[in-house]
Amino acid sequence: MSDMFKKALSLLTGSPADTTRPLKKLTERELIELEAEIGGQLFGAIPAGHRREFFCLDEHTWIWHEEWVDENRQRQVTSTRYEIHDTGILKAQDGKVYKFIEGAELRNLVLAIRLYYEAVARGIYRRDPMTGAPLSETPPATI
Amino acid sequence: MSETPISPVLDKKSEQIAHNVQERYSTGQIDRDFAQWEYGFDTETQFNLERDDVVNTELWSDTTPTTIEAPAYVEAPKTRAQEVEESYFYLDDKQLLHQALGISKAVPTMRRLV
Repeated sequence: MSDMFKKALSLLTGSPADTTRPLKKLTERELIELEAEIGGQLFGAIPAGHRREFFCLDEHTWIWHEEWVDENRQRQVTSTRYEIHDTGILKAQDGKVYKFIEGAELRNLVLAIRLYYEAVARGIYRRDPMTGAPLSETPPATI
Repeated sequence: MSETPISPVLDKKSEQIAHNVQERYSTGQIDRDFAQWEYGFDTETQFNLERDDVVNTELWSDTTPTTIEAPAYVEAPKTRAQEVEESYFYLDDKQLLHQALGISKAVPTMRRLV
């Protein structure tokens, strides 16, 4: 195959490396945007006119962001930041109140974190969330 | 204060009824009449009170419970969220925090492995 043909083919279809690892060309921010879209769906149906995101910003921070237009056509924004510390999870809503969450609220958050992890592991990174191993591209054979 | 007067006719009629009842009671006729009216069969031949089993099983043929089957209980499949929620039910806050710490490290690691 000529070099020119290879180059044209790679321009049309992407390089072989890109087809096997299509996420490699995405920045971390773009990956987070993909994750946030999945994370926003973990809490059930999103009402019309709402925008909801839930994502892991870094090793110590989770964000729950929600935007909507109220009955007065005013844009409302609620942003909740959860900071993961060795001693507990600190919650800050709209940058104002800080408190360590506990009990049912802590359980609900960790449940969301766990489901988020499983969903993005399978849906974006194609990895088994239990083992971290890459998922097989081909489905298992059926009898 | 005077007692309530009793009608002589009613009194005579009551005496007759009482006499008839006494006569039927003394001859045992009232027991037989009552048994016939109440159950329609002779209790002495149908039941042996010294035993627990039923002598004449034909009495219960219409109400045998063998035709009644317990409905099959089909449990609805659980969602993954329900499974995880149940597995977290008995975890205390420290254990939940441990989960959050682990997952919070795992997610950025996956990003770096793309």
